[in-house]
Amino acid sequence: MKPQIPNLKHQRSTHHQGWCGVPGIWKFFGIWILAFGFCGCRSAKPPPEPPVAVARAERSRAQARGLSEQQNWVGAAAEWRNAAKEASLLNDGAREAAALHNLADTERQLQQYETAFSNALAAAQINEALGRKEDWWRNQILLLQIEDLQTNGSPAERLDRLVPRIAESNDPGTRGAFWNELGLWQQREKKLDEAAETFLRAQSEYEGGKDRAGVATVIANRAKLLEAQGENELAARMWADALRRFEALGEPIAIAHALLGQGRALMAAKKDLPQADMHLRRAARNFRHLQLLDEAAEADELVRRLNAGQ
Amino acid sequence: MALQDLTPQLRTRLSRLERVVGIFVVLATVLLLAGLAYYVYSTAERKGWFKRKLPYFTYVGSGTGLQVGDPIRLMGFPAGRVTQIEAMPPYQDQYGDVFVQFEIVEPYEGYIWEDSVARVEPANFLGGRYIEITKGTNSAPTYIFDSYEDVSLPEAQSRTAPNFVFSQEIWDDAITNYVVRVGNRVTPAVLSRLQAMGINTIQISDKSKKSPKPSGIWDEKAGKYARVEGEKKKGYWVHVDETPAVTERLQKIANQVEEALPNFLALTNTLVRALTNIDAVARHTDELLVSAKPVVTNFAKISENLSGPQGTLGDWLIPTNVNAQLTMTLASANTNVNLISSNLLATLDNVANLTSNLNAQVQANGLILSEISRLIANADDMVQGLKRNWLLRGSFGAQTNAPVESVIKPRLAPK
Repeated sequence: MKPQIPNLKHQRSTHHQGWCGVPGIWKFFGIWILAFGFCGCRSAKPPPEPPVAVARAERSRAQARGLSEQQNWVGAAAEWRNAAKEASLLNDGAREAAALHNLADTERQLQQYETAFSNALAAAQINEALGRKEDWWRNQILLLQIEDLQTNGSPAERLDRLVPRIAESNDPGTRGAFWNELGLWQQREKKLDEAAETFLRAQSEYEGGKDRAGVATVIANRAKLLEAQGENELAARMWADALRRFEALGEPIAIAHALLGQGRALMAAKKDLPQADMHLRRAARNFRHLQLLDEAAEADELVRRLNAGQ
Repeated sequence: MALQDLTPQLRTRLSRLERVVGIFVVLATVLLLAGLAYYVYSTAERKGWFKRKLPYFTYVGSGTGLQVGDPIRLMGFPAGRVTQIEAMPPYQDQYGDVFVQFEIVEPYEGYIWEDSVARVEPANFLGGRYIEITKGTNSAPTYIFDSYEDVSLPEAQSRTAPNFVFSQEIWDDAITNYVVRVGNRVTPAVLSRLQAMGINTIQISDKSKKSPKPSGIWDEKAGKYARVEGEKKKGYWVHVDETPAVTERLQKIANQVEEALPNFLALTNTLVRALTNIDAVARHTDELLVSAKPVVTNFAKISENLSGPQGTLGDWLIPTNVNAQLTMTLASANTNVNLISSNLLATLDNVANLTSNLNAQVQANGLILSEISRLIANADDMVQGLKRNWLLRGSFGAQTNAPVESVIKPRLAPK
């Protein structure tokens, strides 16, 4: 029987397609081993060190941010002032404006309203010149907050100017903060129904932006508005909602305010007075821990009145 | 398929391929063996497998931080390794509690002389220690590789050629100076002096006859070399200078600080007392000046009166009231000055104690601080490297800080 000759032509052609006779499986593993060997042990080169002045400015900003988060307002003010100076030396307008804004916010906390106002105004001017719209809006809202707190200031004129333009802002958080400020102003002006509507808009903006802190704050403001409208039972329920939200966020000051509000509303509604007493006492104690002595005194006074049966 | 089944052309081609493969396999095997041999050789050279190793031993108080295989250092070089660490049997610990044997690789044994010391030093702040042998400076080498023998003095007279040297140490009668030292040439003058001292035999070595193995080990008591046999095979006993581990030293420092704290508080109390006394003295001085004012006035009057015709010097100079006042003032000043000086002396003593304690602590802490600093820097380098590794950087989160931006938060309604 004649032996069958295999199709060598075909074999040779496939043979020369790969690497000099290396079987496919070894080729496969070899590539992976090489790839892992080469890349697995490979680290990117370290990034170049930033110039000294840039590193110093970044350090100041990080330090200031940390102090602000810890609510160490005196230290934070000094560091934000330093950060603004460092950014100015580098001609970095955006960072200078941000530092000035945060400095103004810190000074607001320290009740230094005059300097806070001038710094916020300076930040707004820089952002306007640079065309940084969102930052400019935040500056404006801060200015509104400061004007509302100043004894001889009023945010009315600025609010009138900004209300038609607020839709220009693309940030729901900014819009929420603006409506919240407007609502507070309307409440102060005894336009309670308008204020309720404005707070709802603020809440809806914050909910759209998934800003839990914003939603909780607006709910607390709505609760206070309900107290002003005489809806104390409803207000107590809303304060309870706000309290639950602040507890989830871990905001000690806001929690103390919510406890005070809930106690006050329950007391005014003459409902569940033992619970009202407990809330007021807890609020007074927390305010004392937070060194907010005026608020602690208010809570103490309410406890005294509650126990006196007034 | 068997090879016979193929055509002749194909068979030829396949057998050629087989040959090529065979050559390749042989070459690869040869290369592999050569590489292995080279690796073994370089490892042997690096680890000193072909080198001479000589045993030494020492006794330490504690085996803390020492391990078999630890390197032995000499002038900063790794010169050998620890081969054995054993606790001494109970009631046989007169030399030390722990027996540590080590071997020294050539040529470092040449630096180890009779006065070399095994210093046990802290290696790190985790309690590790290492042994460093100090270089010998002024005595006999611990091993001898020359041929040597004890000869009588008459026989030694015939060994005054330059290749003969003493391998023994002999002191003069007052034990203040060497008469003979290891390595000194044999001279008739020295031999006659030895004869005068009543010495009959002396050990002499021949530098021209060297052996690869040590011919003798230094016998510290006899002051000459002895054969390496019996108990001597254990090696040469290097005396130890042991420093406790860093952790123990830290504990001691902590205890010292704890003890020093009451003294420091006492010192502050003393200082407060001294300052109070100084204040009192200042007030007294002020009173003294006030009380001295009338005295000065009186002196002025006296000087006026002295220039006049009336009055004697004694009457005017020190009237009775002034005399009493001056005596009181001087006594008060004397008491105060004594008090101040004694307080100041006590204060200075305390300050001196405090500064010396602080100095000791700073000296002790210097090494630890630099070690810690280096450790932190190295750990940071490593972590930074890992952060940039393509495989691992995802685990470290964002590489840059969040950009700083202006923040606005909603406000709670004011009161």
